[in-house]
Amino acid sequence: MSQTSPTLQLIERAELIKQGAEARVYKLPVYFPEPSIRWPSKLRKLAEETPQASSSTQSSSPTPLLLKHRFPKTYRHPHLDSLLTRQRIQSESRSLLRCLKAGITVPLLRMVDVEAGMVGMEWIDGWSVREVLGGGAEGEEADPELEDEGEVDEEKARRRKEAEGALASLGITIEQLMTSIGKTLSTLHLAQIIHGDLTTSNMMLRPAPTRSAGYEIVLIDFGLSSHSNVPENLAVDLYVLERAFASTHPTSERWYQGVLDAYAKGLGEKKWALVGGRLDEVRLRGRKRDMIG
Amino acid sequence: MESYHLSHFPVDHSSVHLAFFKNVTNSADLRKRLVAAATMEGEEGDRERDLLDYAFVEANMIVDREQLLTAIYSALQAASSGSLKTKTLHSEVLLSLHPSATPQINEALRKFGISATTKNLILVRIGPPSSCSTTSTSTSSPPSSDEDAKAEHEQKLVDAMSDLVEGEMTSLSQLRESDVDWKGLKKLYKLNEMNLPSNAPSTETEKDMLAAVITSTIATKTVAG
Repeated sequence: MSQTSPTLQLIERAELIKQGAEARVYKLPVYFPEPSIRWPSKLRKLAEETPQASSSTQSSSPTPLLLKHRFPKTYRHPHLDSLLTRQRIQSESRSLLRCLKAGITVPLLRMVDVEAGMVGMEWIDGWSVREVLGGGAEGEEADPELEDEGEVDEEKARRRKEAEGALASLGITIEQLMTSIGKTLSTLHLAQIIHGDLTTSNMMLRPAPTRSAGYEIVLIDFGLSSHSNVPENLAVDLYVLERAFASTHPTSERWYQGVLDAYAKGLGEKKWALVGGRLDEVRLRGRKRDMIG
Repeated sequence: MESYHLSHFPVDHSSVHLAFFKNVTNSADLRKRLVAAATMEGEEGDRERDLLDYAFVEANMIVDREQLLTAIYSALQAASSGSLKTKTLHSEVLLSLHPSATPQINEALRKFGISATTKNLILVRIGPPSSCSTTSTSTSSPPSSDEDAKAEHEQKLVDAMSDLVEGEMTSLSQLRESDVDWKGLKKLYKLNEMNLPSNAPSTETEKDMLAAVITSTIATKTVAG
């Protein structure tokens, strides 16, 4: 695909926010620009006489878009590369769609361009649970090169402060947050979706004034997700999160128990007996089942 | 009428114009004209086709702007990569709205196109930002700026739309509050498997959930199946 593909041109207007081995993630400030609004001439004359006619001109405010670009991998054969890219886009968007249907809040999809390797999805305006719990933004310490100016530092500090104050401003406790996460994960697993990379960076806290709780948990990054109902797979999914909690939030053991309690409750006694038992096994042996090679 | 200018698409279809009409009374007539125009010959035929050069969308099957714009975007994308499945961008928009990965064009037109009983209608026009942007020799007036040409073109277009459709032009923000056919949408987009209590969503949260699935289904159609 040539550089002139309209989808790829979007990248030029977007800000790189995450560079991975598989994909780059961008924030596109405006997907559809603010439209210009016009009324028929005959109505306009009417509108001048009756002022209330012009009050209905409200339009959509431009919303940002998250672009996930699975860029071409030159170390692969081009055919294999485009095949893999297609499969991964397919699997990720299917999982997201399945989540939406199961009532799990995930970014909704706005655009898929397989040839360009691009998926455009809803920008989630919130904070990652990692930030909220004081773990900083992902890769903050690891990537000193990205921090070039003092201005950026200030912006980061501001965001960090905002994220750490998020719970207070939303009027929720850490325990409530943990309960919500556990409940969300049980819904996910009851829908037979395995996230594959559950970390506190891949869970967002978003203010949601229309919800009774005032917020919602949004799961993101379904790049490693799969479809399964086997206790082993559910347990490994949880175990990954457990390790992530332990390493990013060293004092979090008590918090994480809250996640598990809510998860167990959401899953139901019968199913939890299977998954919980399996989780104990996984803890002893680690994430990988086979220890070959 | 709302006009979106998408400069990253080829100039010939870089502008998208949408107008939502409520309480339309001449749908049957419009439909008849559309059918007739397709086979009309000579100059008269060209003029009629030009007058009717829109996608006529059944608004009861549209829940919000995002749904429609997402379908429009995939039609534009198909045009840019040379993979249009229908003859025109306008019919491609109707096709894109259909959830099936390989829909029959007739079926898409029947679900999303204008019918004789259409009460709420959306006109979509995809075209260049202004009619005379390529040459300035046609008129004697001094060459106006691009913005002026755009504004003039948009005003002409919105007037033409309101001459064509007998109904009340309304903001697209009103879509949700109008007579959305939730039952039909749920069946078509296979939303009945969702754990929602009733046929018609009662709360905004429920509507949001359904709208999210509908938009996402349209966006991911090319990788579905």
